Amino acid sequence: MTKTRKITILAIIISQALVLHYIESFIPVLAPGAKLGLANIMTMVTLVLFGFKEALIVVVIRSVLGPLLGGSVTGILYSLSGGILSGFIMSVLYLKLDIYFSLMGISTAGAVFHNIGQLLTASWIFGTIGILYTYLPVLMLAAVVTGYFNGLVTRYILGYLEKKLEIRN
Amino acid sequence: MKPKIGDIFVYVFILVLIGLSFLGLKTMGSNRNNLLVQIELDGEVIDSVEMWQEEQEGELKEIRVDTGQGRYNIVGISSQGVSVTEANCPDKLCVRSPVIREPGQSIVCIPHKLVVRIIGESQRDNAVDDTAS
Repeated sequence: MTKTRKITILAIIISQALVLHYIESFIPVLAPGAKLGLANIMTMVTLVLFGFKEALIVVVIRSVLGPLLGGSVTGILYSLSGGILSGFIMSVLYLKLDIYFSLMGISTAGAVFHNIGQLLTASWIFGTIGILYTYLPVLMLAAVVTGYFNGLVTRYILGYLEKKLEIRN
Repeated sequence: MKPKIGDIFVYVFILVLIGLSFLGLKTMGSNRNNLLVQIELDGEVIDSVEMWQEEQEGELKEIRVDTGQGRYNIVGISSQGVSVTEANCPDKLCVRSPVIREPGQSIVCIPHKLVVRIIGESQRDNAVDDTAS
């Protein structure tokens, strides 16, 4: 694959992640702080199609630009910490422990660590670990559902994309 | 689509995390040493006492509050909670009020303009923020 082609595909993936991030803000959620995490689909697609470095690039750019779209600068810190932590975990699970984990499991683990990263940052900012304890149970239950869903979507997208883009060969 | 062994590990991990956070909440809730009993007379804080130091377990600490003109309330603090044990106010509502032990609860004696309040750590922080800002 040429460099230009790769950059273009990555740019499209990032823009799609941003659009998903934006659309997501219109979908009401049951618990405070819980999100569908649709943008994570694009992170996983990148991880499978390209690898660790590219996935991390997508995560960082999406985490910085996403909150700016929503109009809050403070959100960058939360989404960056959650995104990078979950990006690392998912990369390890997919690249090193692939035989033990399905995409659904990896996506769920990513959602879990995204929440943990964000809550740790929030605890640090507010100076109390209580935030972690209070929000974690609800967010974990949400992560099971959204993680499975996102993993499933990723699986179907990949089946289509790999044929279409002829990336893997 | 059978879940792989690692997926089950992820779900177990989630259950452990949920359990741990409930445990964390519980230990935080039982951390009574940080509670403060605040006694307010006519809107002003006249006394605040640290609640439940461990060496005081089982003891009853009584604080006599003179509210002027021979009026008084006696506030009792024990490991069971805080209550007004004695008062010479006309309605005795404060004496009959149930024992309070959670942050945010209070006992009020309207005739003597007395408020006994339990304050948690977070509320104390907020109070500092309010004056600072």
